[in-house]
Amino acid sequence: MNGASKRLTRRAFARGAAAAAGLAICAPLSAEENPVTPAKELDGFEAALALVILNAPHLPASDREDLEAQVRSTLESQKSLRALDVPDGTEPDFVFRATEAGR
Amino acid sequence: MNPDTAFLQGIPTLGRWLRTGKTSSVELTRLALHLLETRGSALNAVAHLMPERAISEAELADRELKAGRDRGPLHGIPYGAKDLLAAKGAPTEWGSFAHEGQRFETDAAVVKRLKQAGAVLTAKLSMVSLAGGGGYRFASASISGPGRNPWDRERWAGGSSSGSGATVGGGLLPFAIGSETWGSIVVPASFCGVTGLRPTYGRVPRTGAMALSWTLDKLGALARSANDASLVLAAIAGPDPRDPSSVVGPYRHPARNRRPLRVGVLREDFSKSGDKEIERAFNAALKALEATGARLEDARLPDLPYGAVAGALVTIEGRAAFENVITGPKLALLNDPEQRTGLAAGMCFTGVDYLHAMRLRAKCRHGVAGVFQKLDALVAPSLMNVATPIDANLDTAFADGGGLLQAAGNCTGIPCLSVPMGYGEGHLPCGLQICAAAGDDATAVMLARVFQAATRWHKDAPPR
Repeated sequence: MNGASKRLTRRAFARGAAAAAGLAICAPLSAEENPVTPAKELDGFEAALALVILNAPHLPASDREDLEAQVRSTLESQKSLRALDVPDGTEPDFVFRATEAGR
Repeated sequence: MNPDTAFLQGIPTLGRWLRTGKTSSVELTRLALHLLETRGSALNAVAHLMPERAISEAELADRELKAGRDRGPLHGIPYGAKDLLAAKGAPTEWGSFAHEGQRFETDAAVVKRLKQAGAVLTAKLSMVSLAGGGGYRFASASISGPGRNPWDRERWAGGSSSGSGATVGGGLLPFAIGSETWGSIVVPASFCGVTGLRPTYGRVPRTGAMALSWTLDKLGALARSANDASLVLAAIAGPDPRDPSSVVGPYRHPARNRRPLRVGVLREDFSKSGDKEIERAFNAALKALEATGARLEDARLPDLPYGAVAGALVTIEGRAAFENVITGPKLALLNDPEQRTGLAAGMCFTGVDYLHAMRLRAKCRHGVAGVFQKLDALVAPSLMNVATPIDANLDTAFADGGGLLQAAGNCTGIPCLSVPMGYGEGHLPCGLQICAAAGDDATAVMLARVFQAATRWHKDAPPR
């Protein structure tokens, strides 16, 4: 693939992503609809992929397969992380210190 | 002075040679530059040689010693610094094609401190691109090419401090500075048959060092022995107002240990995977430790999500640290697709996820601290495998993420040494991990010294 076709592919890739992101983020809601429910059932993977592509617009088109795998894997990690229970009252280590003396 | 073995002797011996006139810092430095240029280049271990600065620092070291000014054990000793540390006189490219030609006209705090201690900076050493941020599939993810192992050039030196491990392992330098976010000192130390010391998080300031993960990055030494690594730590440790994480106090090179240490043994399951020869080497290492008077007992870490927490933090912080690369055209310059896409995919995590991970981390830190109320140290194999083939798919080779103690140790910021403990498959080196409580770097060093006084693995070098 030469440079020009790579650029075209990359642009098409970004356009598709933007369309998906538009759907995910800006789906219009009618007055009858519950305003806290999206108008359309969104696919979390598609939405996440679009968000990632919009924020990394220079990824080579050839990275599509790798990117999809990475997004799926990251979403899995996120799901596992969110499933982990933290007791109420546990504060985050806002500035992490390995030792109590350093806190 | 035999050029093939000079840098295998250890820092105290080199120091004695300098002070008795057997050699000079200029002579040692010229030797280091020659070895790095010839053997180091063949290992893809050198990012940038710094001959002018090195000779100038060596001449100063010699002049000072002659004039009776002795800066301590590192005076006149040549070393190398991983190319994520800024240093005047050479580019600082972070191993990344996206940062080719990048320069900082200042020295990182660690480089400044080593200069104060009289050490001589000879080279910036190769590393995996961006210290592996975002992940990478192949050893070739580096502007210097795949880091080759001095024990077998068709094997990987380990990452991300590849050049630091290879140069010390190959006897090209007496010590080198590396960094660890998750495994980047321990892995090359184990693969290259050297001692790696990952200090407590916050012990050594990262001012002037590339940030991959602000709450996980640590700087430390790779050296010929725990004693040498500890001498280096004593020179570089201590707070720096420009790094707010560096709050752990100065480190004192410990005196000889006089009481038997209580050592918890973490056993890995070699029944399904891993190198059985490493399991045998680990069992032999335990016997050697026991023979020194250490009190060994089986131990377990509390069942907490160390890997999930550290994984989320390094992904999210790495996404933020390299935001300008990820959103710009330079992303496409990174040569490993997994790194490009892994950095980009960090966007999936949210701020809530980050805080959730930090809350879980507090739990992990308390859990691990509890283990050290009853034990002085924990030991485990550094890795369950020897150095991987140079073209191996690292997703497969490191499917276990380097073991539980590596995940827990980095998640909670405790100190760790990896010391040579014999050989695995193909007569390639393997390491013993020795960890202690956060802030108690000295105990980990003492146990490692006791082990090395009873064994000779750390004195071995690759066959010529």
